[in-house]
Amino acid sequence: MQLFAQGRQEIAFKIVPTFNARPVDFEHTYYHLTQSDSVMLDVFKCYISNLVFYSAGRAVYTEPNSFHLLEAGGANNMQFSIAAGSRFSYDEVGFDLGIDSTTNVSGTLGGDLDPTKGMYWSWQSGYINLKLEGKSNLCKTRNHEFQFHLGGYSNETKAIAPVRVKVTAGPIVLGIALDKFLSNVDLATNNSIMIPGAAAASLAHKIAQLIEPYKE
Amino acid sequence: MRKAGVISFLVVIIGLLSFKAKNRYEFAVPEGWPRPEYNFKKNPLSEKKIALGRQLFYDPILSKDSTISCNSCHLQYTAFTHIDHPLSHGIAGRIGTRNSPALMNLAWGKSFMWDGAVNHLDVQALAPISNTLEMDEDIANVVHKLQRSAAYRKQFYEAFGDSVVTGEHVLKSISQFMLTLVSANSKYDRVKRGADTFNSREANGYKLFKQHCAECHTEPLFTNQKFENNGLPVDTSLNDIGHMKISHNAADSLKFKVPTLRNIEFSAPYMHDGRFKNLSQVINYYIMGVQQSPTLNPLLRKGIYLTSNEKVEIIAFLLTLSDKEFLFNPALGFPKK
Repeated sequence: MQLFAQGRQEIAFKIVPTFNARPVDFEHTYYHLTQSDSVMLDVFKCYISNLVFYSAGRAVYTEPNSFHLLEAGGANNMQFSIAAGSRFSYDEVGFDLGIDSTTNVSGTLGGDLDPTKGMYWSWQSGYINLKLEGKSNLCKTRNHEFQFHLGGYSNETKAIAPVRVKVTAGPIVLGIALDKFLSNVDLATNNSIMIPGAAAASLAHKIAQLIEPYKE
Repeated sequence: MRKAGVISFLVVIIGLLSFKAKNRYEFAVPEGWPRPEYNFKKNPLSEKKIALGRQLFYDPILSKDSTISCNSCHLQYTAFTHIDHPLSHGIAGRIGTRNSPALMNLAWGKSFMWDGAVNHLDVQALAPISNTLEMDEDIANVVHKLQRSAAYRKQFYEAFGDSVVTGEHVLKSISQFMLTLVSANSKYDRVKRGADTFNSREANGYKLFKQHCAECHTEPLFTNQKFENNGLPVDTSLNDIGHMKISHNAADSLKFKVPTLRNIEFSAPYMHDGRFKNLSQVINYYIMGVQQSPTLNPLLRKGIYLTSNEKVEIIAFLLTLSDKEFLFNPALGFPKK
């Protein structure tokens, strides 16, 4: 009987893409990975799903129908809030970066999962879990552009990545260090991933590991 | 006074119920057929949604320059495929890389497209809408265009109770129409029901069919829904590896979805690249043209031998799979205002 725990609470959730520990400017700032290169980022979109709150390692709240599309500079600008039907304390959150395989084989869905959101592949069924696009002089591509569209749900191409992060009470703010991610990718040779496969799955897991608490 | 209130309340309820019942569409599974794959509970059929899907199927608004509709490559009279074109063409005369498949009995489909790229009927239409060689459009822009149309806003409201057009509702209504493309009333079906009889040629053809073809073209759908390599020499202008492109598995190299043979009389040309123009060429190919390769279907390894008389008999049987009621059903045709 948890009568004392009744009530509602709203928990703000935010992911901040960072470069050198500062929020990324997705408009027109050029950053440097080393002295001789420059990188500009203009698209970051990702799905967060299956949110669970933990207290001392025990799940205390599981968000129903938990699918959130976050977009830098988009309508929500990488944030949303969870309207929980009960009050609970928590010290850890868990979620998936991406969309699970059951949802990927369930046909067309609405809300943040609507195929008009630009996060569904048309030529081969499946959600794009994460999009990161930009430009760098390292890329000998058209307009020096690079695109990472990471997705895939079958056993061989599973790009969904679980995340568990220790947090404190109050709004949840997590950082994702894109400078660290890009330092680990050789942009000269690896600058365009648009299909599910081992390469996409590997990058998706690498980027998920960079999610950690962030102090604004 | 109170009694009158109760009665009028009941009348309203009954009216609402009968409206609902009238709008509901019962999907009938032909006798002896397996259970459909499609989960109707997640997208319950209704007359209004089917009508909307039919309108969309026949409307070139789905393509970038409003010249190509689904119907452009899927014509009813030719079993909802593109007759005469080995490779189907899209907007601005652009030529695709495959022969458009005939559309029927899609409720039983386990995957879609020749290579199985699409895993659910509801998301199938996204592929031709987005393909630059087909409609070259973006589903978000389709939604935008439909939202601007008062007629469509009304139809979406009638179908979904919401005049706001969404990608989900566009695709689900197109699915609803496609689900109604059921072909199950050919001479073959009537014979199976005991309402007709094969002549001796057709009967012999049926025997030969069961012996040589039915393993892959399994009754009653006339496809086992699997991906098979039937030994076609690779067309080096296309270098199409089939299902392997999707599965990334070398064991799937050169395997394509086994197509249904229903209405085969009307759905020429044949094969994923439309290389054969008539059934005689197809049968001759299976007798003389099959190429050995590591992924070739084992049943084709030893070859198929038929006399010229037997060839005629198999074709006579294949013609019993034509379903004129399906091909000329006005409910499936261009929607008249």
